[in-house]
Parts: sequence; structure tokens; C-alpha cells
Amino acid sequence: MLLVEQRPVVGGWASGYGCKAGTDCTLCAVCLAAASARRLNPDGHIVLQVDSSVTDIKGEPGAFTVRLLRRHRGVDLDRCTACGLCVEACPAGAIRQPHPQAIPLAFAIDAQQCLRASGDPCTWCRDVCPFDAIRLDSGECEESVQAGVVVLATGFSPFPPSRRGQFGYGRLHGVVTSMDLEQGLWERGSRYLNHLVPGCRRVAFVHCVGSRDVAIGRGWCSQVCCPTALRLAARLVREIPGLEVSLFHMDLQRCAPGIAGLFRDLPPDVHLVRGIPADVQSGPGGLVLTYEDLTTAVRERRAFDVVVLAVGMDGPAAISGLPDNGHGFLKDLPPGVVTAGACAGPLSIADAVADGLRAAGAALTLLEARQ
Amino acid sequence: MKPPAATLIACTCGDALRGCLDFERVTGAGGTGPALVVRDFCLPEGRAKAAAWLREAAARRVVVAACGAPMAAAALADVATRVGLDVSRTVLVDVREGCAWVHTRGAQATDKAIRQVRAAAAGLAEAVAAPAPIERTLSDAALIIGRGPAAAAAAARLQALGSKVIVLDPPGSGGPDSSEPGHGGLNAHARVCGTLVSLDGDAGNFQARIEGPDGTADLTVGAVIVAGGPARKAAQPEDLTAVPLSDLEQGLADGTDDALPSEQGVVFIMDDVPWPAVTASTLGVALRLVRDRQCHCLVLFRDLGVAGAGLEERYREARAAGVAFVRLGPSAPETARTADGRWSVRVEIAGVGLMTETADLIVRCTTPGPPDVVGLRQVLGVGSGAGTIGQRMFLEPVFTERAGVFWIGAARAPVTEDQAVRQGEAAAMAAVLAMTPAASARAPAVVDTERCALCLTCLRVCPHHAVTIGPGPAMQVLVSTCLACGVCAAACPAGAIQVVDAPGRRLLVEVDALLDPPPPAGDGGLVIVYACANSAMPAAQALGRLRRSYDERVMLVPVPCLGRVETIHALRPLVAGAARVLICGCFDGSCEHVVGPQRARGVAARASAVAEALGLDPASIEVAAVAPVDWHRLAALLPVAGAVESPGGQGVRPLAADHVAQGAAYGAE
Repeated sequence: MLLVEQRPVVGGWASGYGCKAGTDCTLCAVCLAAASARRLNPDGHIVLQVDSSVTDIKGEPGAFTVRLLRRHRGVDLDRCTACGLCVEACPAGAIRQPHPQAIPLAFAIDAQQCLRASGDPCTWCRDVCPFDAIRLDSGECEESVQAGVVVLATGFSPFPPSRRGQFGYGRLHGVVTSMDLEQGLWERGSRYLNHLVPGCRRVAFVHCVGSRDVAIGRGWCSQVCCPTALRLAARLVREIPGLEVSLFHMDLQRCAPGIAGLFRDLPPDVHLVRGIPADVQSGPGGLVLTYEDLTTAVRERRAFDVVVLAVGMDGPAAISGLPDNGHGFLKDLPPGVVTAGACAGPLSIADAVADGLRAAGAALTLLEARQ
Repeated sequence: MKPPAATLIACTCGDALRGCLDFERVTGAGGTGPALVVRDFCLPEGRAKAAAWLREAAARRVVVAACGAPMAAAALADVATRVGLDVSRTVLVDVREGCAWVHTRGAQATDKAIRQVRAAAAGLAEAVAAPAPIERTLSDAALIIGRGPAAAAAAARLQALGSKVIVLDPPGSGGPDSSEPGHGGLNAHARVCGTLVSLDGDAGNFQARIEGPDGTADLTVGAVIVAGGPARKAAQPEDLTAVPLSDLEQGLADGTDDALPSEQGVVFIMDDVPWPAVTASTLGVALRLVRDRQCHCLVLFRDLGVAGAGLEERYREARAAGVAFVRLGPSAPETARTADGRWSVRVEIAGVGLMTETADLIVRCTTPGPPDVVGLRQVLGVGSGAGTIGQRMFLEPVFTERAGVFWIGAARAPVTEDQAVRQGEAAAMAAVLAMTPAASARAPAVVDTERCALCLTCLRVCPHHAVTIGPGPAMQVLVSTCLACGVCAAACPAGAIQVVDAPGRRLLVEVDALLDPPPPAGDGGLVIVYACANSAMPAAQALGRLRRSYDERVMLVPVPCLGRVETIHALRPLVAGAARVLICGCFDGSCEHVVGPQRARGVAARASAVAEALGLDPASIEVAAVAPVDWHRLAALLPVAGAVESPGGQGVRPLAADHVAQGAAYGAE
């Protein structure tokens, strides 16, 4: 069992999400994802290969040849104890711990930031490492592995919010995506909002950015954004006194057990507004949203400090030669290739964890059929 | 002179720890004998040195003082195997606070390390021997309850994986001789008709008792998959003017009902936030009525539930086929009988006002009631929870708190066919795993048969149904169902149950040793943190890896679950001079062992009452919830050193935000 991951750590997007419990658990399942990652590799039957991309899959069930491009991170994973001396030594700040709960737990050298990229002969990190774990003469190498069954768990790509330019992402300060907010909560806790916009008191969530929008070629409901926005709102109002959150939505989606409870028992500082804003503009009172309230059919303008775009899920980055459903999600794969998780269509964390089990069963069935 | 309780290996992590710990003092700590100081315990070189030295010293119990990196734990397991030492005779002490050695106050850091090492050595002396492995034969048959798409998918996958499938048909369904083609799509090796009345035994080897029309049958099965249940009796519809959607769907599927509408006006009312499964049914029925029966369909909705595969496309298809969709305003639609025997529906539409529509038939698109699984839940003992019934079961699809029992499909929630199939196949894989564990296994907890009074407390409190009576006159812990949370051990009035990894006496001895000699009072007072291995421990380790030292005052005591903590554990540290006791773990609903946080609150309440009676501060015993990924919340609970140079201020110091950004800022000060 070889697990190939293109990032330096396993766990996917969920490994950078924050807990969304306010007072009570809201069943966001981020801790479930963390537990799955922690329990990985208990007995050494799984070989982890991080920093590697799949460039090509060829062959047939029972005899696939998978070509990999392996990027060396400059650190020997078997020898790095994550002691951190190299980080202190690096004059360019090019060495990082990818994640405090990273699996594998080892540092990585950013090849672009490293002084050696510009021809400097610096070896400070190697000199200071007590464990001889630094490998400076590294680059990329190609290798190929044989496999009987290939399980694809390449996940999703968040919708690029710049494609909906009217919301001002990347142009207006204070407009972030739900992924940014997740990441911010994970990195800084609920202080993230204040860090983003000091004194932030009014937050708007705009639902369905890059979902249910045929005009931009995304006619599907990503189904995780409604519960996520509600959970994020519930946590933020709980931890930041005086914060008002408005959720601008089209239709609420009840796609997770327990989520109906969140709709019904909304905290008093969370307001549901039916209607997706037409645009976001910088105004005197902050970020001004123009929208039509579908319940009252009145056109309104309201100012907010922070606007969170609840971005939908796009298909994963393509692996050459694999068919998709026309929107990037994998479909009609050749025999012997199995999908797991959101690469075949939007899924919540909890459903993706269960889908991994399903994929394991499918892969095992294929392997047993060959024997 | 007393022989040393344990042999010590201290790792300096290169020279990283030399600057902040005085290794001479650490290795001279009482309670340990000769000590080895290595600089690279977790690397092959250090492992070899440690193994050679342990062999020479003929060590029987080993304490390794190192860091909290996973490599150190792997190295210790490796070294123990090399020298033939049982892992339960070794212990890893994290003297680096999850890799955050940021103390400049070296003396205090060394004091803390000494307390930790001595506690570990004292605890080792109290280690419970792991019971001998048990050889087991496991059943390869899974019992499936239900006959929907989830059940069919589970059965097919189980058979593809080489397991047997036994299907439980509800009583009155025709019984095992039922010759309906494909048994409703389910392929089975055997079919039993009746009701499950009890399930005893261990995951992989359950004894299921089924009461059927022909008497009682006992079956041995390895796993139980609940995909449905006996249908709930149809309740009298609240609104007598409307037909339930499910009736119409069934009629269309059968194709026999002449009473179905044809060339008529049909109004569907979807007044709730609908499950995707309900939208799927509504769209399917409306499309059929428009296309095959030339009806005029109007769907009144508030939220159009289109989550899930292809529903949005289906909605557009229905609209293109002529189904009208109108969003309801704030008020509920009113229905009334017209003079000609039809119905009029008055609805308020936003921006338009009141509209009246005449219809021949009104369809209520309400969520179908779940199958009647309450009785089944009780028989299987799953879906329990503190306050919010079955929350934990809803967090994790497929699994329940009882190993070997899986809960999927319509039994969980209304599901679309696609979801049902996914869950069915996932449950099949989970069942196969439950039926093929290692050939031999050790019980994670042992019962002292001399002490067991058969009071059955453990049977009552075990969240996993892992305790059973016998074979002799004592309780017994089931090998593969027990998850070693320790709830039974904490509740046992006779102290007869010991969880191998966290025996109660060992916890107490460790805490006593941590507080010996008595710590200074006041701000420097020690904080004992009972940290849940699933949540607080990973959070604490992450804090350490971000170089946020949780201070020499904080003593982490890992526990498998908050349910392991007894009143005495909460009270004893206060009596011995600790400043605070923090019992820190999961939220209700995310606790793997369901009852952990609830039991911890009970323990804290009792301990506080006693503390007050003893003249101690009852508020110094606290219970808190953190997620494993939420070290910020933990940092707010603990005295956390903000930075190396931070002034010696006391109390909670919030994390400097810039320091946490993806670990990048480490060392910036």
C-alpha cells in the first residue's frame, strides 16, 4: 500500500480547517479527519510518499504503471526529528514546519526562498543539524511504481473566487473566501477576524459563489457550503461578543444529520437573508452589498466589515488521460481505478471518510478478483 | 536500599535540550537507577546505543525522557522489541512540552522534567501486565437488517469480499421461503424472518437471538448492519386535505393505482428545509405526472434542496418539462375545498402578493418518518449520548459506538439512492474489517476476579457494550469490542477493573509523584491537566510544535478518555498542593466514547463539593472541551508562555497571533 501525496503532509484540505464548535459540537467532522490522519500507518504496512505528484497512469487492472514526480524537500524524512534548529539557523527564513500536526512530522526547505536558489553557497542549516538530516543537493526526480489497483483520492479544488469579479475578491480588503476563514480560524482562532479587519463587528456570508450557477458553468450544488457557513457563523458569534453575522443565501441545504438543528436554533446574532448579493463595493461604511431580499422583494444596500464568500467545490486538478464529467470531477474511470472522496463529486468530510472505506472495499474486491 | 524502579534514558535531541535542561540533575532524579544520556534517541544510531545499554544494564523497566515527536514513540517501541522488553514496561516522557523547549528558566524546566521522570518511574511500578493473547475464531457472516438500496449494496459488497450474508426479514414479510425474485434485490446465503431481540458477545463473534413466527433462533454472526427497520406505522396525516408524497411515489412505482391523477392540477407543498432525498422524490414524481399523465404540476417551496449528485440538473429538467416552481412567502399556504369538489390553495408570494391556485390534488412533501428503529437501538445498545441522543453516531457515518454494529441508509436519515449505495458499500468494508482482526488479541482491560462483586455497574456504564458476565462468577471485558476508554474502571466501586494503558492506581501514583515535593503555592502552583488522548493531547502537542511552551507549571496527564478520570483523581492534586485541576477533552457529540465529557462534569461537581468541604477552592477544578485541531482554545485555558523573552507575567497569556501563522514565525523573536 503506497500512499502518494503531492503536498508535504497528508490530510488534504481538512487538515487546515478549524474546529467550528461554539458551545457545542456542530458535527463539522474536522476532528474526525484529524483522527483518521493520526491513526494512519499504525503498523507500517502503509508507505507514505509525500511531495510527489502522479504524472501518468498506464496499464490494466493488476498491472498498472504509475509515474511519479518526486520533489525533494531538502530534508531527509527518516532523520528529521523536527527539533527546529535549522529554522533558527536559516538566514532566509526558508525552512518551515508545514503543519504542527503534520504527518509526516518533518520540516521542509522552500527551494525558491533558499539562498542557494540564487547561487549562494549557504549551508547553515546543514551545518547546524545535529542529525545529518539536511539534503541540499536535491531537486526533482521521476520514478515509476507498479500497482494492482489505483485509488484516486485527489479531492476538490475550491472555486476560484476571481471568476466572480463583482464580489471583489483580491481587490477589496475584507473580502475572503470560506476557505480563507477556515484557514484563518485554524491558524489564529477567532482572533483571525480582528486580524483581518480590526474592530470587525459585521460579517456577511455570501452563499453559492461558484455553485448552482449555470452562467459560469457550475450548475451543481456543492452541498457543504451551507452547513459550513452556518457552523462558522455559530462559532464566530459565540467567541466574538457583539458580532453580527448575516448569511445571504438562495436555498438552505439540509444535507447533514443534525444541521436542521442549526437552522432552527440560530443564535440571535446570526441572520438569514434570502437573496444573493449582486455585488460588493467599497463604500463609506465599509463593504457595501447590494441585494434583493427575496422574502420581501425589496432591493437593499447594507455595509459590512468582512464579506465571506462561501465558495463551491470544483473538480480536482486533472491527472492526464483520466476522464471527468465535463466539470473536472472524475467519472467513468477505466477498470481497476477507483475514486474515494470528493474527487468524484462534492462530499462533506464525514461522508468522505466513509467513502474512503467504500473505496477500500472496492479496491480489495478488484484485487481478490485477480487472484 | 530500594532497587531503582526504572532505568532512565534521556535524549538531549542533539544539543537542543542541553541549553534548557540540566541533565545531571535529571539523571540523578530519585526513583531511577543508572541513566544513559543520548543525543539522538530516535535515529538508528541512538536506538542502537540505547538497546546495547539496556541489554547491559539488564533493564526491566525503562523510562525514556525525550520529546513528543512521533519518531520518539516509534524508536521506543523499536528499542523495546530489540531487547525483548514488553512495551507496557516502558514509558515515554515528553520533557520538551511537545517540542517547545522555550524556557529560559532552566532551573524550573529541570524541576518539571524531574517531576515527570519520577512520576513515570513510579507509575511504571504500578503497570498492569497485559493479559495473554487469546486465540479466536471469528464468524464470517454478517447480519443485515433492512432491504433497501443500502442493504442491497452492503450485501453485494460483502459477498464480493468473500463474507456470508444473512438477511433478517421483518416478521410477517413471508419468511425465509419468500420466493420473490431476488428477495427485493438482496442476495443472501440465508434469510431469517423475525425480530432481533438480543445481541451478545464480541465484535466478530456475536450471538444474535431472533424471535420469529416459528420460534426462537440463535445465530452466530461477525457483524450487524442496520440499513432499515420495521416500517413505522403510518400516522394519521395532520393535513387531511393532502396526500403524502410517499403514497403517490409508491403508486407510481407500482403503476397499478387508477386513482392517480391524470390531466389534473397537482400542487406540491414543500414547506420545510427538505432533505435531498425528499427533493429527489418530489422532482421524480412531478416529472412523471407531467410527462406520463399530462398533469399540471406546481411546486411551492421555501428552500429548494438540491444538494447531492445531479439534483440541480433534475430540477432544471423538471422546469424545462413544464413543472412550475414558486417560492413561498413568509406565511404558510392555506388550503380550502371549493364548491366543485376541488381545492384552492392560497399562497403569499414575495413581491407579488396573495395568489390563489386551484388544484385537484395537494401533495405534502414532508420528510418520511424514519423506520421504527428505537427498539432496535435499545436491543443493540447504540445511539446513546449525553443530552443529544445519538449525536456521536451522526458525526461518523456507518459506525456506531458498538464495534461490529453499523448503522446506515434510511435507518440514519433520509438518503438518496446514491448515498445509500455508498454507505452500504462502506459498511460492508467496515464489517469485513470487524470480522478479520488479528488471529490473536489481548484484552485492553482486565478484571480482578477476586475483587469483582458482580454489581454490574460496568455493564451499565460501558458505552461500547464491551463487558459481559462470566465465564466464572466475575465480569469479563470483550477483546475486540473494548476500546479501552476506562469508563468502567472509573465507575467500578470495587476498583476491580484495570485498563492496561491507564490503570487507576497508576494514574494516582503518577499524580502523587508529580506533586512530590509539594509545589510552591500561588502563581507558581502546579496545574494538573487530565488530557484526553483524542483531543487535548494532540492539541497540546501542536501547541508545543508551534513553540508555545505550556509552561513549567502545567503537568499533562494523558488519559484515554475523560471518562477514565475518577473523583479522587480530581481531588488528590488539590489536596497535595496543586493550584488547579483541568479535565480537558472532547465536546459532547464528538467524544468517541460518547459519555466522557458528561462523566467528567459529574466527577468535577462531586470533587468540587468535597473540595469545598475541605476548605479548598471548588472553582479550581474545571472541565473544558477542545478539539484536537484547536490549540488556540487550549492555549486560552493554560498558562502559556508567549515568548522566550516574555516578562514573567502570570496567568493566561494569549498567543501572539503572528507567531502561529503556519509555524512560519517560529524563531522570529
